Amino acid sequence: MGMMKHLMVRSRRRSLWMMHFCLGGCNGCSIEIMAALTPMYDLERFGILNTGNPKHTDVLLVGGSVNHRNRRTLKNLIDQIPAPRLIVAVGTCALTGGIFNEAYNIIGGANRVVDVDVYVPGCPPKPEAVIDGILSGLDKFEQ
Amino acid sequence: MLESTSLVDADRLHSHAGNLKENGWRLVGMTGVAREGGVDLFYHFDRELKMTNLKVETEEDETIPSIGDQFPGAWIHENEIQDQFGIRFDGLDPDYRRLFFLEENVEATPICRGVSARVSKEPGK
Amino acid sequence: MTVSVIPVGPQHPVFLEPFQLKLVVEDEVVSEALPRFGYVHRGLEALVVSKDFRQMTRVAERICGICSAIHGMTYCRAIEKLLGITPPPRAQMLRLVWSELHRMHSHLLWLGLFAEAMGFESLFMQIFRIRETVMDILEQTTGNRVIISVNVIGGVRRDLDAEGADGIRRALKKVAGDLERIRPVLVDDYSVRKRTEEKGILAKERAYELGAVGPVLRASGISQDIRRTGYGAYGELDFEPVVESGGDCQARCKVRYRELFQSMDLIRSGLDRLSDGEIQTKSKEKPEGEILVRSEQPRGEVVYYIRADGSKHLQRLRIRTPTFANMAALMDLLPGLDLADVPLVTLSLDPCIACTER
Ligand code: SF4
Repeated sequence: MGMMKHLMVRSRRRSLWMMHFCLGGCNGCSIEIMAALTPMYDLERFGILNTGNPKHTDVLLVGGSVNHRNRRTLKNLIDQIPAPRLIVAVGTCALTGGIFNEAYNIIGGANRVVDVDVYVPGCPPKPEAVIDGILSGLDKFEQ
Repeated sequence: MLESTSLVDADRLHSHAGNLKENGWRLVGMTGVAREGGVDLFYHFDRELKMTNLKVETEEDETIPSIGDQFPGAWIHENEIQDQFGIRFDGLDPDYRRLFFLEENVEATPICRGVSARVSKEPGK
Repeated sequence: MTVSVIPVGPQHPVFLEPFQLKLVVEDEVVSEALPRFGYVHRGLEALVVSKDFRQMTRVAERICGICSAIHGMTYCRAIEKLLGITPPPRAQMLRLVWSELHRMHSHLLWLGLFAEAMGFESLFMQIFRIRETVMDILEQTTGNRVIISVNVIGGVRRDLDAEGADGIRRALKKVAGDLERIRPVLVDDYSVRKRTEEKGILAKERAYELGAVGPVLRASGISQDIRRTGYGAYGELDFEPVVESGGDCQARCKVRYRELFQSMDLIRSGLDRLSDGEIQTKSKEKPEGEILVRSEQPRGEVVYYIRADGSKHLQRLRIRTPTFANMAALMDLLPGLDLADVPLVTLSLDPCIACTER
């Protein structure tokens, strides 16, 4: 039994499904997330697959800052993602609100709504940094 | 002052816009600029890469006729301006009642410097 | 007949950005569509209150990551006109080169997403592989991949040496070859044509009336391109707008595909004519006055309105972005479509929600 459990935990970190959600940013971050999925950077070689359904999701990438309207959407999405889940904030906007922090419709970074596990700084971060961010959070799936 | 801009009254707006439309002008966009006690509304038109503008000076919380029946693309511009400034458009379809971009709890849109714009929010029906 | 309302979004695999379409469907046919915006609205036009006019260049670039270089350039052009300065010819030409590179990266991104919306995953991957060549040039010559931040008021921030220019030429050759290779799939393939031909037809008169801009308008047979006004260095180069007459998804795809080659031509002749000299005109003045400036972005015409009163902060900045104008056309296209075609037709207009809502 111990052996089975060990195997499951070990293999889980190599078969994650990922979803990305873009909030109130400039889109630059979601472009880089897309780029990370494509042949040049190829996130799939780590067993990470892109999906569009929150119930299938293990890793959520959030780009952009939270505003008054999308905060409820983000909350809804997060509530649908089963545990254990990894939440990665990509880009300065998702970290703190970034350059838009003072704008009237912005509340702040993604951590205003969810508990973020990994922060990837940059405006936008390079695809390598996005991949690095995801991989550095994988230990969460071994607990 | 912008080049080739003519100042028109709100109630003459329709006939001016109709004239432009007949002559093949296209609605490019609308701009609202808040000033003390009201809003300057600009309507930008284009024809063969030349631009012309109409300017309407409105009072606070005034209702302006919508030009959506002449320019079917106007609804999005008018809805945005309703959101950000105190004016309303009459005959606007679809009308988001100032909830186009903003949630009900956003009270101030300080979009122009020096003018404290806002806007008593009328909740959506 | 059953009538139901289907909300698509705000989170939907086909749209990169949150945006909701409420579709009223009768059986499988859409009879009415109503969009709901506001998920990306930041209110960045209001940042003029707290950031000065030089810092606003960086904000303008972050309206939208896909066309950031052209946003930055348009903002700078507007401020330069108010200040009464002209950037040196070399700076103007460099701006043209980087803008056209940005147009290429945007069009390639769109082609990829379009292929994905058709369900053609391997084409999507191929196009993104081609796109990485363009991203590499951008990174080599400017230091960043997406938000390249080369524009400053009065000129550009970075120079391009002969080696860099050669690098661009070599890379373009490679991109051109790669693009030629996917042409048979994109334009002639049976199933692609089945998916895109006669889908979402926007008639010529209707497109003009609704105020559509850019490739959408050109795909409906109207030859309109703001670059023809000859702003910046565009006046020195000779080109014709790319026009198709179909008005359907296929025509919009062809316009963008051909514009990629047009951009490459412009970049090549821009590099050939690059003159020596300064890259920035400096000015210590503050902007004053009212101005309206237009440029052609990958998605069409963008309009900047600026009012300034001679202080450090602008009074009003208003940006009418291309997708904002195209939204009316989209809402006009959707009724009458099959539900399954809605994502593809929506995508064929290349909606950029970050631009629309700012
Ligand atoms: S962090 Fe920068 S690139 Fe990313 S969404 Fe925000 S402004 Fe855009």
